[in-house]
Amino acid sequence: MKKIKLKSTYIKLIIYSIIALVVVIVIVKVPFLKALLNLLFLCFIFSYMLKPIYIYIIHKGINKRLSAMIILSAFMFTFVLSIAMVVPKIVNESYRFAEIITYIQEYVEEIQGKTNSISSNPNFKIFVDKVGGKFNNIAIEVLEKCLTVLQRLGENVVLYLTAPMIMYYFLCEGDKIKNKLLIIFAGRQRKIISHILSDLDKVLSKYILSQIVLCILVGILTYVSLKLLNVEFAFILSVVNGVLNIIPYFGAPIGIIITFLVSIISSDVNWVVVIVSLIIVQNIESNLISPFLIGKSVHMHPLLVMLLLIIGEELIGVIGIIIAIPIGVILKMIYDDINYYLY
Amino acid sequence: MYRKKDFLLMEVMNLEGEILGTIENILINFGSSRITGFLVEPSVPFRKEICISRENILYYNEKMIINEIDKCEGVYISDIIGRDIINYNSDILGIVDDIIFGNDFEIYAILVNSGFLNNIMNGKRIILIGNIIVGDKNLIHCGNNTVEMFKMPCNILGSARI
Repeated sequence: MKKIKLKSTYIKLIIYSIIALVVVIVIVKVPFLKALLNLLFLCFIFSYMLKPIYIYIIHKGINKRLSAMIILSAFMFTFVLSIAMVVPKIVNESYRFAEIITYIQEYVEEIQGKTNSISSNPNFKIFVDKVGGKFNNIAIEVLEKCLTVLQRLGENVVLYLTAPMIMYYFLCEGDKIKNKLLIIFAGRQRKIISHILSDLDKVLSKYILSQIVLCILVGILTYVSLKLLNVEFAFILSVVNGVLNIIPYFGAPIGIIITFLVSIISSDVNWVVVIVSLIIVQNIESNLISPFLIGKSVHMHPLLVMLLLIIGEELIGVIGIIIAIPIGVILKMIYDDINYYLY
Repeated sequence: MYRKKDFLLMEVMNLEGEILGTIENILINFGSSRITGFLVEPSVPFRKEICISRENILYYNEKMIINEIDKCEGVYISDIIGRDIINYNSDILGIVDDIIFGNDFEIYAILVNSGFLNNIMNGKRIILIGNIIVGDKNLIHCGNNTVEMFKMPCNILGSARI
């Protein structure tokens, strides 16, 4: 009897795996399905980020649908306003950026001219050409990727226009959608999956919202400190620093290095003051604010965090680094819950 | 009977309906073999962690309702989880994986993890709390081995029996 039960469990596992594989292959091969799933995934992420605010407004006594409408309207207004404010500033500052690149090129040529004996060596010339070629290739690759993203956005613009409506229904009828999706599974598994999702919700919602708040805070603090020091491109640098703050351990030093390099090349400022002010900003964020916002519920060993970042970068790239920690948290919670329900 | 996961991440509310936070840790007194209280991580940022004692718990199910915040003493369960359990022959039986306690927060036993494959083949060992001596670094199993209890893995892929 036990052998038959084990056999049927293995058969079930094999059937589930085959079904999952077929679904993944169909999604990858059919472009429309891929775009649709991307849209649904993005809408889910954004509505999940807005969910704590939604629950807070409901607790104040406002109707569910009205709360969802208020939050979405505020979100869309902020989104459009930030694009209207941010894009012109970035465009203005990027014109000056081209001047900086010309200045760097002239500086490199000056160095080459002063080191005639080395630069006349044919091996050195080959080395310099190869390095220059590599940089060119990287720049072209990055530009191509940006253009591909813009092209895909343009092709599916009608699809993305429906995003606010989808987010509205994810917000106010998210529980119903979840219950309907769980009907795929049998009763006992449904209970287990429902508990796992509830635990994930408690941990992830706090983590995602606190990460966004921390990035905005770091961006604002960086902007204020760079503006006070009269550093050029303060806005772009503060945006870059804020976005890089999402990456734990590595993001802050990379942001400081980029900001430091650009500020000493472009502005006539004391580089020691720039570094000290950036380090103060990072210390305020990591030691004073972050422990209270993120808390201990997402506690992971720093070595595990670094391994996840490396794996994320190898598999998916830059986006992999950003989503490595939330995925690590999800996998850890699923493992803990399965360990609990198994025994 | 309950385990630590039944209480960790549980929302805690006071009598006014205000959500104070979520349970982050459990406080244990091994002398009396009881859970003395819970450590709550506040839901509002920049607030200190709060401690609620067992006596101030009015109700618990999916959420916990408490009377008032109080100080409580004990050992954190996170300090105990992961410690080795050894017997009198200095053999390592496994590491502390979980605790099993009842409705009145009296601890009955400890669940021991003796390795991933060993858990699947032989199950997780259950050691009664009366057979445990808690040390600085390890726990000692001082019971005899005439009767051994194990928690076997169950079939989570199967459907519920009617």
